[in-house]
Amino acid sequence: MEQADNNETGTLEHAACAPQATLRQGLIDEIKRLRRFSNRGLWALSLFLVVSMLAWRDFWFLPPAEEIVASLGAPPTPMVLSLVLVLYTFSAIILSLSRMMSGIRHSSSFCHVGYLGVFYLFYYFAQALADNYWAVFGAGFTILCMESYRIWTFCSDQVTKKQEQLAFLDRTGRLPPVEESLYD
Amino acid sequence: MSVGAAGDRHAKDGPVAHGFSAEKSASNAAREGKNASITFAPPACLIRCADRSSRPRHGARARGRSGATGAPAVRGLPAMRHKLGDGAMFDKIAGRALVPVGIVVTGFLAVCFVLLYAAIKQVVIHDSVGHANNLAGIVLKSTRYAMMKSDGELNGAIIRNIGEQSGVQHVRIFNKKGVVAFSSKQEEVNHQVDKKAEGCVVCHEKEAPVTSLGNMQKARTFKNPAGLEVLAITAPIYNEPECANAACHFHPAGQKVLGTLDIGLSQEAMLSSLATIRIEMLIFSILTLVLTIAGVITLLKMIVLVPMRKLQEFTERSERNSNTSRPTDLPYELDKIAESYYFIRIKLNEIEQRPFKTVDDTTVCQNK
Repeated sequence: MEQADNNETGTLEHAACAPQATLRQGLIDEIKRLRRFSNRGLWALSLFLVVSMLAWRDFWFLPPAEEIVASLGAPPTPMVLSLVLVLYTFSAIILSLSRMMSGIRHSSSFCHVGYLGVFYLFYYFAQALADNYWAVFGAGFTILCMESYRIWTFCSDQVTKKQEQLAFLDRTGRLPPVEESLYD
Repeated sequence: MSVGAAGDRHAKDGPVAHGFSAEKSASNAAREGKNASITFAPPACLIRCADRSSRPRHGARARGRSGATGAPAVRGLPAMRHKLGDGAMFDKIAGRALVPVGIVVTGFLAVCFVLLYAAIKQVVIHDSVGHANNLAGIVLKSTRYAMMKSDGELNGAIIRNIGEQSGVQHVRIFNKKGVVAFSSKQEEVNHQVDKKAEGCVVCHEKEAPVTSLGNMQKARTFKNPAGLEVLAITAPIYNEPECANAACHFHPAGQKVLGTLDIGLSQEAMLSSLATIRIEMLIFSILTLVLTIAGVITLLKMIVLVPMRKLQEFTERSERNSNTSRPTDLPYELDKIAESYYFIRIKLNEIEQRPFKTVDDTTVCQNK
């Protein structure tokens, strides 16, 4: 009889502990995920450096620019491309700063690598890559550094928050109440 | 934030500085010789650990907390946090504010510098090609009369004289078969030119040669054996009615191009101008960058960092001396914080100075 009571108590304790363990595991998983996510900007930057290396070698694996132009038609002039590049750089920096300001989780790093790769290609087709290579490289490096910094600070803040929640959970067995911040 | 949460958080924080401690209240009670339970219980947020030595001084927003949790399972996490968020530079306001500003301003200036320089270079090259085309036109007009008269000696003299002009690297006139008829360098005369050579291939790439070229298509650049950058213009000499109808020699009217003028100009002056422009732009960009960063640092320091430091010193001083006056020249927001802190401090002093009352057991029981 006593053993049955003990078993019952143990089961109840186990049942009470189970959601806490689940929550705890969830928080730890979230922290790990945030850690992985914080490297996203650096991965994008690395990919961009690879694309830049290909551009530096003048896209040796592509057919000559004249052939591509003959089949696809004339590309925009280097002046137009440069104007678009300045506009793109400006907008991307402003967007990144806005996201940083409002603390939005947004993972747009890899699409920037795509846009910058297209700029390299268009300059290559317009046969103006030699003159404008460093402009695209500078733009990409700046934008991706900003994005890396934004993602890294966001993850850093989130990890701190999750660790606080984890500590609260360990002490009290529940998650802290959701606080409404005036500034979020 | 709920009181419970605040209490929990600060209890978790462990070493938090406030100038009032549980130890102190206990010692006060001991001084008064009252071992009974105490009615005044300081709020959890005001309780701090007496061990101030363990309190992190700067930038320990994240670091100071987890150490005090005491939960063994969380012990591995500070290392994770350190990996992500550690770094004194990024913990401070100055670091957090200046890093993005530095990246943005430097990057955008670098991009604009390169693009502007590329655009200026294009304009200068375009201009240079235009001038070279004009010069080629002048040479053609100068030799026209001699050609009409079929005066080889006069033609040769004109070409040699133009070739002696400073900045002119070579002047040649080829006939239809690609043989050098006149040249500023005598050794080139009567030599056959390869139609696949640079400068010829533009027109002779296909079976039927191109007979008309745009200004930029006529131009090519290369390094001569002396290592000088040369801009060369290949201008076709078109057949005109006077040529076809001239009595001296014949050119069939159907022949569009009679020959080609090839003139090479040194690009040394243009490259020197471009180098000057580049240096001037670089200096301008660096000055702009330095001014911008210096302006941001100065304003940030003046408006935020110095007042924050004053506020920090005020709070630290008030821990040691409760009668510290609050700083007066803070900006509005920080002044409000200092004011709130000051009034909390005054209230706390009042509470600290009140005599502790013992709990009347009967009252407690009645309340219960």
